[in-house]
Formats: sequence, structure tokens, C-alpha cells
Amino acid sequence: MLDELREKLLREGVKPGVVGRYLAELEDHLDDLGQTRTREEALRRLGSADALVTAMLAQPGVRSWTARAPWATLALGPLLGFVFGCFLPTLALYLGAREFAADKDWPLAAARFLVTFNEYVLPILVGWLAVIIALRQRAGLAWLLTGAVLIALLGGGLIEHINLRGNNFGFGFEVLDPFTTVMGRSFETMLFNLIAILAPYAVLRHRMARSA
Amino acid sequence: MAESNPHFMNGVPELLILQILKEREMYGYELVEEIHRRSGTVISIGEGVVYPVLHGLERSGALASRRAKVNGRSRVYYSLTPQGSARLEGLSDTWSRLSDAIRLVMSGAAHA
Repeated sequence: MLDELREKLLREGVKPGVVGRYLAELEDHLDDLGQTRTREEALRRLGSADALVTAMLAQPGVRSWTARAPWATLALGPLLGFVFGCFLPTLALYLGAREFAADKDWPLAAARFLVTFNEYVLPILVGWLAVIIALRQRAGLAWLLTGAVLIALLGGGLIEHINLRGNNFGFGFEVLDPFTTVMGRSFETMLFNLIAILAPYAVLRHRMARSA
Repeated sequence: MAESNPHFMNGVPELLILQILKEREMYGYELVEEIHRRSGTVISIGEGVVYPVLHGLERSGALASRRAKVNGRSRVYYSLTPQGSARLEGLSDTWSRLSDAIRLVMSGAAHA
């Protein structure tokens, strides 16, 4: 019954933290009831899952951002996360290297690593973050898919350069013709990003459906 | 056990919880038992319904909670805050006036 309640609450958009605390207290309550009653009687006294969901939804402030504004947490948020995730570390490295390590070699290696990370890894990591939010809060696929497509496109066409010797850095966007490169900036990279982001979602969603 | 009477229960769990916690802090099960004990079989609510009300009151600042270990078990104790006392006062007043008005109507003593 508590598993059923958890699913119903999450599907109704109740914050996972609120659900977790509620279920923990209900478990304690059931244990207390179980000292002197049968499990069936204890569950009956607790109330039906539907009644408990209704009681929870009657309280203000229990619904998550993902339930109220899925476009914000699953599309716009990840997109902004990707943009700032690229820009801020680059800015920090650029300013830090110029200020504190102008005569050192390691900033060049760090810049090469950061460019590779931002172009190839960050889009997928940000996409996975959105996937975790969507799965944890039982969100629908529509906004996650929108966000994943946007990140995959942006990440697939992103070109970054950091020139520590020339004192500049910048970002660009370019999409080459399909099938012209293997791991360059291309349509294939976008497709790879999209599949890499959504594959864990498909697998985990399938597992959750089977275990339900 | 009496049948639930949801149409007349709006706001009642909140009032009862605040009133009982005014005396001392309690955890959920203890609170439900106390409501049962004091109200006999007249007021019957699903016991699990108490927790969303407790959490809502806590979010609004009417209650405070603390986790404590008692006999090896972790309990969440709830207590009334000054804000909760003020809220209880308001709710009690409203409830008393409503109750008086209903009594008047039922006794047929309303304005002729």
C-alpha cells in the first residue's frame, strides 16, 4: 500500500522530499499500530491511498516545480545549465590563468580538456540531470524530450576556443553536413548526444514499469 | 468506529491538532491516539491524514518539529510555535461562533 501511495503522490507532482518524509512517518505509524493490531486493521486505520493523496494535495506548497512548470525544470533549466556550465568555468580558467599562471604550461592543458569536456561531455551530463529529475518526479516525456533535443542540438554544434596566449576566448555554433565527420561538429554528434541522453531514460523507465 | 464525516471535517483536524499540541509536544501516532481518546468515536479521520496537516502547519510556521530517539526508535515530535498559538486562538474563535450559530438554528431559537 505504501508503494502504491508513493507512486500516486509522485505522479500527482508532490515533491519527492515531501513524499519521502510522509512515507517514513506513515511507516512508523504502521509499526505503532501493528503493536496491538493486525496489519490489515492497521492499514484500514491509516486510510486509503486515494484519501491520503487527497489530504496531501489539499496542503499548499507540496507540488514540485517539475509538476507546476515542467518546461522550466526539464527544458529551459537544463538549457541554461548547459550555457552557463560552458561559460563560467571557461571564464574562470581564462581569468585565473591570466592572473595567476601566465607563465605556466598547465593552463593550456586545462583549456584543451575544458573545450573537449564542454563540447562532448557536458551536453550529455546536463541531459542526464534532466533525466534524473524526470524519473524521480515521474514527469511525462514531452518536456524532457524537448529539453534533450535542444541540448543535443546546441551541444552537437558547439565550438569553443580558448586562446590564453592571444588573450581571448569565444563560443560558436556550426553544423556540418551529415556524415562528413566522425567525431567532429556534425549532425551525427547531435544524434549521438540525443541517444546518449535518452537511452538511460528508456531503460530505467522500462525497469520501473516492469517492477510496478 | 464511527463513519467519517468529511463534509463537516474541513479545518477540524487542524483545530484539534493545534489544541492538543498546545499542552505538550507529541509525535504523530501519539497525537492521533489522543484525538481518539478525547473525542470518543464521534470524530473519525483516516490516521494518515494527520501527517499532511502536520507538515502543512509546520510549513506555515504554526508548528515546529524535531527528531528524537525514544526506545531505540526515531520519532518526529511536533510542538506549537507562538504563531501557532495565535492561529489556534483565531480558529477556536471562529469554531465557537459557528458552533453557537448551529446550536441556535437547531434549537429553533433564531429570530422570529
